[in-house]
Amino acid sequence: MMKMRQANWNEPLISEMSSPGRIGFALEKLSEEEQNALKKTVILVPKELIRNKPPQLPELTELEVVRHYTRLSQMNFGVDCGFYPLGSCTMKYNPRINESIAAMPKLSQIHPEQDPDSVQGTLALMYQLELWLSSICGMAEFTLQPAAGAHGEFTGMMIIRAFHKQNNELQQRTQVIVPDTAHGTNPATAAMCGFEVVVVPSGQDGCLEIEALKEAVSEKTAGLMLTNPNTLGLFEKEICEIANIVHEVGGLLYYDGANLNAILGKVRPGDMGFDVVHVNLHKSFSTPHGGGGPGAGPVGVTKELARFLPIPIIAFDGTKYSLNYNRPHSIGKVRTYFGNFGVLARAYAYIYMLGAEGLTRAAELAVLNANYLKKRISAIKGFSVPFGEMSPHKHEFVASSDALKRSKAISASMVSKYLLENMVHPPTVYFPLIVPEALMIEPTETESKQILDEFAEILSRLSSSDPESLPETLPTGFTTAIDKVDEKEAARRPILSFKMIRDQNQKK
Amino acid sequence: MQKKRVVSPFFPHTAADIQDMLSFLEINEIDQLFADIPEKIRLKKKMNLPKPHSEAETERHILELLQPNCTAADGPSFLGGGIYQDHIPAVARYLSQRGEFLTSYTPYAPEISQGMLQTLFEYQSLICELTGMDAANSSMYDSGTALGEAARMCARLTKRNLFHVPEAIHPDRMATLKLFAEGASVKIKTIPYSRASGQLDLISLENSLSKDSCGIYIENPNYFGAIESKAPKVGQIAQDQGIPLVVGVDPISLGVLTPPGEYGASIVVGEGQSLGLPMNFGGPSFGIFACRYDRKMIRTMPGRIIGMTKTEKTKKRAFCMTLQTREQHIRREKATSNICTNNALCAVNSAIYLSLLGPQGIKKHAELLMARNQLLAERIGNIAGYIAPVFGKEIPHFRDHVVQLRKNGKKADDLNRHLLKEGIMGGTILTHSFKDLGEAILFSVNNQQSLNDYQRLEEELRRF
Repeated sequence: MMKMRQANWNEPLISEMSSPGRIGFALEKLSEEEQNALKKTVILVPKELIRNKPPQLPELTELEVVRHYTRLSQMNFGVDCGFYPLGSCTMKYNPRINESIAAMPKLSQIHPEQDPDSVQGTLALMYQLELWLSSICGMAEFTLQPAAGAHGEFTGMMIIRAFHKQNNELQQRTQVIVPDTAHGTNPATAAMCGFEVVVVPSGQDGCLEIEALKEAVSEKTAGLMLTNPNTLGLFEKEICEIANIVHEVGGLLYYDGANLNAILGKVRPGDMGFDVVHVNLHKSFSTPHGGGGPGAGPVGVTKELARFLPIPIIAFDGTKYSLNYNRPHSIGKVRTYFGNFGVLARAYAYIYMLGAEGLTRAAELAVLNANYLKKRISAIKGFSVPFGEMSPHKHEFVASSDALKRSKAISASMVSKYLLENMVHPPTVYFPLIVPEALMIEPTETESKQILDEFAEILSRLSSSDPESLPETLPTGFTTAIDKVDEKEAARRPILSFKMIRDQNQKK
Repeated sequence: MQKKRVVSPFFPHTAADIQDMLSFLEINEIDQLFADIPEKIRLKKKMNLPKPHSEAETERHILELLQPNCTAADGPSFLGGGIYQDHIPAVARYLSQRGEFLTSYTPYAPEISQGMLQTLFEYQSLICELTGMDAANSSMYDSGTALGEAARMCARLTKRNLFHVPEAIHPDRMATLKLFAEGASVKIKTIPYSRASGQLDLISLENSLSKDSCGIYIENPNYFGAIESKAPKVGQIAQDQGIPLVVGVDPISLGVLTPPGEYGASIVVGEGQSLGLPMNFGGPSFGIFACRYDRKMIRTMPGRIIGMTKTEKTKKRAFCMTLQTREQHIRREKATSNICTNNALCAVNSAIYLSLLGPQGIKKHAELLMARNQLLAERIGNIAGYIAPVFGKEIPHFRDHVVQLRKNGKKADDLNRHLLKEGIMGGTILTHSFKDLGEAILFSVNNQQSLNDYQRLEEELRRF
């Protein structure tokens, strides 16, 4: 019945493949002039600062390097390989045209400190992208500097901080409110910006409870961080009232754009009342996740907050683009240079290809897929969707396998390992915390009905299986590259580099 | 109203699929799934975006849009200062952009992600070999945010809040550091450079230390390209004060220079772009972040860390993310940093690059750059009206150096404009950020420049 399996190479560490004397890349020889110049300059460096032995890098031919990484890649699973329904990550297909575009010399072979006159094309692309994101989100202005969603959150919260500082209210506004379903980056960001985190419980329906929010806000509130739809995949219907409550006490509203894929073209965070918004280009806008990055987290703000945006601002006078550093209220910079331009360009290409119709359709199909899969899974014994079972979800939903745990002692962790065994990447598990044995599932719009049916069938098989018949540990290593990893041991006795391996061996 | 179906290579839904799914959900149209969005906020107009385009149209459009750009292929460039234009081995991209790597997510599910995990473990290891550290994370966004995080880590470690930083660092790094420091109430104390040597003024550093000091940061080489000859002394100063030394490196320079781990660094940061990444207008690159291993230090390090372990049953070597209790998805507001997505694929690319170069390759590459920098400074310095390097021929440099213009009051801005007209990209102008350097430009070398490029530069410098 097993259809697919990963390669299993028992691949050595690259350090174990090394043969002294081999090279993987030929460099030009120094000319005589260069050799003399080298002597002249090295002699100026104190002896203790000249390396007395070369770094222990591996010595391999190009072919050996190619084989090593090719084999390693065959023991890795991406969207290209199969279904990857990680909630809130929006693992949609990454169109390859984005990669060809990103490799164009006039895009990639540009130094950030070139005279703006020599990079008018780059500035035009960024300027246009800002306009498009403003229209998509209903915000006045954008910055493209942040390198990731969390970085965008940091940028946005520092803008909120600057706003309160300008109004001489920063001393009093020490608190940031987050719902109990918030993604970990939200409270982590608030703390990074020097705020105290106040957690507000969700109500019976999985949405922010208005009464609880009213109790939590005060003159100490700097702002509220929210995502909509929330991490349960439910649209916060009371968002307008939520916005009023926070604004009335003088706080600002921050939008975590992780779930934007659900609402493209349907409703905009700006229209919901948000003051600051971040967008994850590596989620809704198809740029590849790359095993953990690089991403990009542009931040949009209302007109009133635009003065705080990081510098420089890209300006256009009708004929020429320029970089404007003359922004006295700017928070400064959140990173070097201008942003992850290579990522921005991919998102630009995607938006240009899909257009308004395509993006809206993406949201519609993402939502259709999620609701279809939700209903199929709800019908499987042992699984339920505790919040919003009867209301429409958006692009994701959180199932609970709690009943399966009670009846057959099969936990969400085991569900996820069983999925791995069946060559499906598991959904996000044990998040959000308010759902027991949580499985956060986001199919995205690039998956077909057949894939969704297959996924439901796998869970159905698990549900009806006799727990005694399941392998003792999952995954078995028969389909995935290896069997279950001892993650506890990794934390108990950290071995984090070749050096630490050597140090450990020496101790023995 | 029956909408026209949007057909796309990225939407698999056929009309039949949609009909089946709608029937199953017992609804008539998809829009019913959006009915819970309050009417008054629903978007009723179309977003101000282009219409859909084909792949070919998209490619043509972007080519046209970028047409006005000048690249270093169009003419010699002398820009550097952290981002460099060296030749990248052709094979690196083909490996790092394999779909299995490119389209995967953070490797939370280790059994299915050993490829990424082992690659990142090897990346961490190679960075440790270069820098003399014991542990590295699997990347930060860039050198500026890596520095910001290092300052915060020093504050956490020492429970104090005064962080010492040289004046002679890239202005963007300084600005980013300041913002990261603000949120943690960390104060920045800048240490001037000696106008004579371009190197850090150690006496100023020593005088600035206090019981509030939480860490010292130096760059080696520094922003002016000068090698900090007294770096080991700074290591001693930090040790005497009982605070961490953070060293910012140029990773290629470590092919020739002693790793900071051997002169007292506790933390090493830097810009990773020169390890095989395209310049990309400054991003994505990645931030190097490595530190010594001791239990206290490692538990307060930010970012994702991959560890080696075994499988439970078969006891095979395996890799997984580890020490996750430092991270936001577990510790939330008590996390060491909010970082989630980092620059993993860039780190993968740099591991491939380092594996191709090997120890001899990185040494040769570093030597070539030092030699060319020396030659370029000599050539420029021999032209009347130019001082190169501005700090004198006795100061060792790596791959950048500062050229000062002393030509009848002419301006550095005008020189660069003159060069650009002749198809040459001059270095970064330092005059506005470092006023006491006068009319000054940071010139840089790489292994793409040719002898002809240097000759053309000389001609134009003379003509100006």
